[in-house]
Amino acid sequence: MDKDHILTELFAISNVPSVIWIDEEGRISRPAASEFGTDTFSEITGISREGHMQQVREWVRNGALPEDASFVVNDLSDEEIQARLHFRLAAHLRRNNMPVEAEKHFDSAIELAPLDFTIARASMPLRGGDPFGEEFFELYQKYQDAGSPFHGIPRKPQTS
Amino acid sequence: MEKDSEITILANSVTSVSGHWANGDPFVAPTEVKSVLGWEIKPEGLCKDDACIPVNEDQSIKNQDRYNLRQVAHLTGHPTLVSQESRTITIGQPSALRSSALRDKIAPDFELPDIEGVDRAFSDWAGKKRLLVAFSSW
Repeated sequence: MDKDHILTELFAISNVPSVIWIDEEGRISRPAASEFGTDTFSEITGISREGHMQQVREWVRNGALPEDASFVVNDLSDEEIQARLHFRLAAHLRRNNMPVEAEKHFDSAIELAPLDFTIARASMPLRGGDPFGEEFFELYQKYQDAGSPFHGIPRKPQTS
Repeated sequence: MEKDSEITILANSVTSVSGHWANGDPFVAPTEVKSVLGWEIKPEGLCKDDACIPVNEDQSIKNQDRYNLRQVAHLTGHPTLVSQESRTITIGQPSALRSSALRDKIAPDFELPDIEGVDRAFSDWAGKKRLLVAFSSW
């Protein structure tokens, strides 16, 4: 349980689900990628779990890595780092019955990292919003319009 | 003489300590610096294991035998967010840990509670291939 989102700081995660492969020696074999463990959302995302699961099996059984494993994920910007701190402070203030102060820091976090789902979407249920509602789809549209900026391996367009 | 005040520190855990504020920054005792950041204030500077960082102990960093936690955190590579309004300093993960993860592909260790509330370190599973899956319950 990562209520303070420390993984988003340690690994520059900016969306979920994000999956990172780590070997026996603690080296990152494949950096963050948007992958799914089930097909629950495949109708919305267009992403099937099976391709990733097959890659994982190959890695575990034979040590084989996909081509994209050498991808280098961009570091967080200063703004994205500050956004994470504002988010954490906002969540703390909310937990301690200081909703007005919390709102200010949620606003600051989103202003600094407006397309980071670990901030913009994650704050929705904490502020009484719906992370599957209209607010989310507006965010998703802005994200797509901006070229889907993401700290992780870019997903190749699916061919059917 | 600055008035004593409670300061909440959001770092790897949440703690409230006694300290004071000066020029918008929180000042805490050296023991709190060590407890929060793991760096000890010694005559040669801020020290951890074999490493020491020299500290220029002027008024901006040392005041009434207390240390400016924001400045000390920056010296040790931690980003910070200070909110005097809520008497809080938020201290982020060291940037060097993330850079090493991204550039050198070395996974930083971390500790988080499991669903039962029991703290688990990622290194508890060292020696095995691991999938780190970040997800949200929404």
